[in-house]
Amino acid sequence: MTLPSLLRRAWSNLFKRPATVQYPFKKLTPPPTYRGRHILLKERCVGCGLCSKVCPAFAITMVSTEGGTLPTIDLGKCIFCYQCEEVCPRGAIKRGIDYELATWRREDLIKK
Amino acid sequence: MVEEHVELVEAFKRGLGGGFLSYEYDAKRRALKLFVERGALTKAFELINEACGGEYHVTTITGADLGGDEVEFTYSLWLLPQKLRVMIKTKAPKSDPRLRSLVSVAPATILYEREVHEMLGVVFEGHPNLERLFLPEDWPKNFYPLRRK
Amino acid sequence: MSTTKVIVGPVHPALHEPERFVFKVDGEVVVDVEPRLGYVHRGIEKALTERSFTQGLYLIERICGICNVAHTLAAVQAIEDAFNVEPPKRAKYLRTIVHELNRIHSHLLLLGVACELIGFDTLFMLIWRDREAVMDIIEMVTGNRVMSAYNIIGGVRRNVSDHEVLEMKKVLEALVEKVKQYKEVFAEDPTIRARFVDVGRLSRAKALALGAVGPTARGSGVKVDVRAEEPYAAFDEVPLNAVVYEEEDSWARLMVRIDETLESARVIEECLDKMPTGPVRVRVPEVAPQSSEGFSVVEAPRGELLHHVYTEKGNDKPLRYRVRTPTYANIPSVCEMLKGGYVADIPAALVSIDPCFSCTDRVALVDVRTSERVSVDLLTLARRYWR
Repeated sequence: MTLPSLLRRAWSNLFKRPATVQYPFKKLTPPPTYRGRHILLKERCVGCGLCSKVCPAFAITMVSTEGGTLPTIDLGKCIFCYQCEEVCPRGAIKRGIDYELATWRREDLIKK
Repeated sequence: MVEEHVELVEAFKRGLGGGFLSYEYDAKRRALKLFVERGALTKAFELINEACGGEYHVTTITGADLGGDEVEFTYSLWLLPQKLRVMIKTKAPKSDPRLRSLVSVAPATILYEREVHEMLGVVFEGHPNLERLFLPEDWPKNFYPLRRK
Repeated sequence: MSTTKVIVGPVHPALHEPERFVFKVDGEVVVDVEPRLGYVHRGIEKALTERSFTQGLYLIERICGICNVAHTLAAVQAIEDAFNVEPPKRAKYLRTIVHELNRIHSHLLLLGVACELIGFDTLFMLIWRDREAVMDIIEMVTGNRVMSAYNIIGGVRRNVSDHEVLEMKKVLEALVEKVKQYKEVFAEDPTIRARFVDVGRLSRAKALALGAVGPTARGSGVKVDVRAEEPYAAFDEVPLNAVVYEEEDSWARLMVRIDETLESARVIEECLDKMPTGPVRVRVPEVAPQSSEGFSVVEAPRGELLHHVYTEKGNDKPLRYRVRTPTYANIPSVCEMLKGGYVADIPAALVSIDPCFSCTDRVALVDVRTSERVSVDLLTLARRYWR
């Protein structure tokens, strides 16, 4: 009973394409609900620092620049939970779907 | 509370007498909390054994140092025939943190007692092997991580 | 009779997570077992007393990657119990759906791993390819394949759209067909039966006395399933039938998991049909509104999981947080089931309880200021039985 059903599957699999996706030549796009790299809308940020206080991984630091105080996210520490997006009163942090975050040096992971 | 819960409470009152302090029933979670003296623990477990014919399941032992001068213990049990969650609570003073081990009555408590011992410094008298469970061998003695300062 | 000691672990190809077992063997038969836990001990219970409730929730999620939804569900239920907050109905249904999806993916993972362990790589690859469909819908609903970050105190973080509901139904229908085929394979394939039947015997009396939980207990005839006995989330309105097998061996434990996968798919379909409309979240205070304790018991894929929290009024951190994971409860049963078997049967018996030692070793730790070196000789080491 089982031998024929597995054999049937094996036979049909012989003529199908392999299930592996040949990354990096073909890249999969995650769904729009995916939690990837953050998008910071600088003009909306008021520098309240709530994102930094609530981050469970202590990955956000508030840095003073000429445009005001802005959050800097260390992608090496970030766990992509997006509590920062939830708590931001102005909606300045948005969810993105970029998942290719590798860099050559650890310092480059700190998003300016 | 339904009849089986009342029966259990009555059995405790009869069997433990002064050792049984009070009870509380949480209707939302269907859980019965029974507060007993620490000396009455073994008898309490024997009563539970009788009440459900040996068909009970020990979930865990929680030891908590809540900042006072006592350590509170919660023995969480699940009684299969009555489908009831029972939490037996007892306290021990920090100056004399000793309890009788329940391994002979309920073999499932063997690892939980070791964990409470190494984290809170409680001695379970009669335990066959009260050794370290999670902490490494070179952890300093008499340093109990879950005790509050 | 002379006994030799065979040490398995902490890093070993047959184990997926580090743990050290010392087996005393006489020829090929295992006479005694000593487990040594603690290799993945991360000090989580202590760390949770130093983080706020929401921050701690993300740490709790990472106690175990495979059963992360069960851990967050138990945590939010315990904290809601202590805060005396009730989540909205729709949130309970959504929690149940993601909880059961997590269970399906975990069981398929284990079935694949069990096949791989006995050398049946083809079936391992086939099961894992079907598991990919489940990971894709988890990614669609929660935003990530593994770490869902879906449950929050007071409800769930995201709503589900109609398109997502249709997608879930489509994927689950296809999955159920495949799992029924796998059930036939597991029930009748001679290789699988030769390796798993009569291996790792655990009698019903011993399972109950030693505190076994989950499929380990249900494969030995003990009918305990938290979802059926102490219903939580939406299980009071969408009842579930506990799956019990009487054969008391590794094969029974694997069959329990296959049947549970089918049962979970049925529960998800019913929840999707019956889901009420309404809000998915209520706001809760940052600090505890009363000094009390809360506890919550859920059925993680590996068994009964308990979270117990003590709160203090006005404090935004818990006073004491206790987690008791299912694999921890199964350790005495594992030692019992390995005795009397062959050395070659050790991987087959061990994988049937679905060991998750990341879950087991998460008790308290504080930074060590002085470390005392204690030298232990072989004689003392040999005397360390846990019995």
